[in-house]
Amino acid sequence: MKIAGQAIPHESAREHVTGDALYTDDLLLRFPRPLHAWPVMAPHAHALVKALDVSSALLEPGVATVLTSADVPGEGDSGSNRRDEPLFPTEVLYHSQPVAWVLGETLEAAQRGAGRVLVEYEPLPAILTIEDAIAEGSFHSAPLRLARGDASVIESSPLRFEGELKIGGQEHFYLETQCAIAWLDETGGVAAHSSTQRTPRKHSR
Amino acid sequence: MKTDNSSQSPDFLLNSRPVSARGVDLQTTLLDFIREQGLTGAKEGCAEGECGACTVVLVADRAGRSEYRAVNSCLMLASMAAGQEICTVEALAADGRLADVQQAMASGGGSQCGYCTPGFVMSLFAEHYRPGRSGPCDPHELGGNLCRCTGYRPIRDAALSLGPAPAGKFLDRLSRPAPQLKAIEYASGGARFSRPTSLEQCLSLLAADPDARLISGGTDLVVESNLRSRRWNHLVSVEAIAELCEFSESALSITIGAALPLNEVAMRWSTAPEVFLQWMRLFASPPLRNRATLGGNLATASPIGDGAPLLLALDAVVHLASQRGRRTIPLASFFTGYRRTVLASDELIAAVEIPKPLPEFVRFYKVAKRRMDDISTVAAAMAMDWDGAGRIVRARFAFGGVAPVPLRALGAEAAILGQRWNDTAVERVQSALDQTLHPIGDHRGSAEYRLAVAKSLVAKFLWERREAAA
Repeated sequence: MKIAGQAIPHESAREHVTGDALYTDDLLLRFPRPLHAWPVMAPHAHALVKALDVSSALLEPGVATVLTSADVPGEGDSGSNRRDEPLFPTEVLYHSQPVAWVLGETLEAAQRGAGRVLVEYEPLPAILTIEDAIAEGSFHSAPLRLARGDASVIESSPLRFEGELKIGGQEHFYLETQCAIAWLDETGGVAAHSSTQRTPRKHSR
Repeated sequence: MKTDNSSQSPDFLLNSRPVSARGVDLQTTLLDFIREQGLTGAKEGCAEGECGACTVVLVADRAGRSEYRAVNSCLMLASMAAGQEICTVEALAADGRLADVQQAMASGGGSQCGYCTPGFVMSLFAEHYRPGRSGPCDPHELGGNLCRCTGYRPIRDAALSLGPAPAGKFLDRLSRPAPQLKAIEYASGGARFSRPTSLEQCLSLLAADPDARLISGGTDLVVESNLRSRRWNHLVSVEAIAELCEFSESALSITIGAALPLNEVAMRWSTAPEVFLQWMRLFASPPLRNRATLGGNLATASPIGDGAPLLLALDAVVHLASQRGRRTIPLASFFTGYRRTVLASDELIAAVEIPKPLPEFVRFYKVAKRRMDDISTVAAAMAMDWDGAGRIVRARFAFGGVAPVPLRALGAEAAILGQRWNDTAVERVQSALDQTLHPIGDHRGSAEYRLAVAKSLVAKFLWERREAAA
């Protein structure tokens, strides 16, 4: 049987083209009366969270509760390797970073509730460009050095070509939106569907 | 049509099945509504009409023939679907057999994560069944669909592999007239949606309710709701008003109804110059052009709207209407400030009129981060006429993205009258632009960049003129 040159659809192709393939948000209909979560997002690129008042949000019709660090007994960090993604940060490290989450009976209610959470911030200077970050010695991780042979001879080379290279690389930005559905399962544990590529990353300690 | 608050039900056909959006909130999108019906093939990717993952088709009239028209269901409100026939990806395969477009995408390797795929399939479906299509499907019709993993080659190949649309129920449907939109008055949760069918009724609604907001395709207004939680008390749709959807051409001018979708303008203006068609392609993607209107683009008065620069360069005027009467305003005096116009709260744009003859040489330039399907950083339209001796008798330089309003650079235009269009004249225009243009810096480009782009486009206009004349 000749295989080479044959168009063989991949295992999900049929479900993709019919719309039958289910993604996280498509599963929502399986859950009666779910609560919807919406983040309270920081309006600063860098700031300290000085105070967080959820009382007005709780008065908003349809708001079930507001999750803050007080609700997490453990570490409350969702970062898989560096442990640098606190669910409820005391220091905001990027614009629109979630600092609390509102749960509502509808998405609309959760969004309205998020607008009523009062957060007091102390804005801090922000480093916004690569150049500034290098000048400040602010690196995302330890510098990575790739070396082969004796690079020092470059210094004594009669002809040298110098320049800078910028690479606008970015993480694969697939279209599916960030979302997750969590429920208490029959064992008393929490089960989750998530639009992540690695569910273990979503385990929080 | 009734103008009291009696509420009608926004009913429509969804995959040939009658459904009712009665009771849904005004801001509920068609996408959310159909997903709540269990039809989750259409996805939300961006909620602003850029990604096309939510694409569905509706049966629409195109010059007396029915066609399937791809639209972004995230930018239509459920109530706007009243009276429409809407078809989603779930309707395509029958008895376990894939539709041709689905088969082509599947066997061509046109999906990877698959999230964008139903949207591509629906855009391709509309193109596959396009009346009068000859030859393969046009991949440009997929310009409103983004894929972030497969790459576009296999998708393009799938489009190019498709032959004529097969006989069957989908082709049969196109042999009958498209639904004609009826008036509707719908209320839910204290908010109102009115869709009158006459201009008179529309103007009376506007006069009676200063809070009413006009909507046509929804490609701008619904983004405000989806992304910035904007809510309205009362929307008045102009979509079903025949008087606002007219197109006419006389010896003196071209008149374009304010509520005519851009793609229909392109279709009806059969003698349109190439610059117009090029402008359309850069303006927005096919599904957006299927809904967006010139009236909406001008009335929203964004300084980076792509409608104004070309129309300014063509000396267009806008016809405004209210119960108090009609008036005609040169487009150049229409914008009064950042997102402000001369329109009164009870007034609408009825039509845009472009005088003839059109200028001898016209170009439209759009500089954005992506070539297509993006918002302008700087847009420019330039037009010029010469006398028999090659001296400039009329010059128009119009820009978007360089000031709080779309504007004409009058100083630059005056600086070169009676001269030849050469390097010296370009320099004169450029120095005048230094005085006229006051761009802001934002995430799309710095102020310096915008000014430099605007000036270099003037030089490009000379080079292109030289090329055209050679």
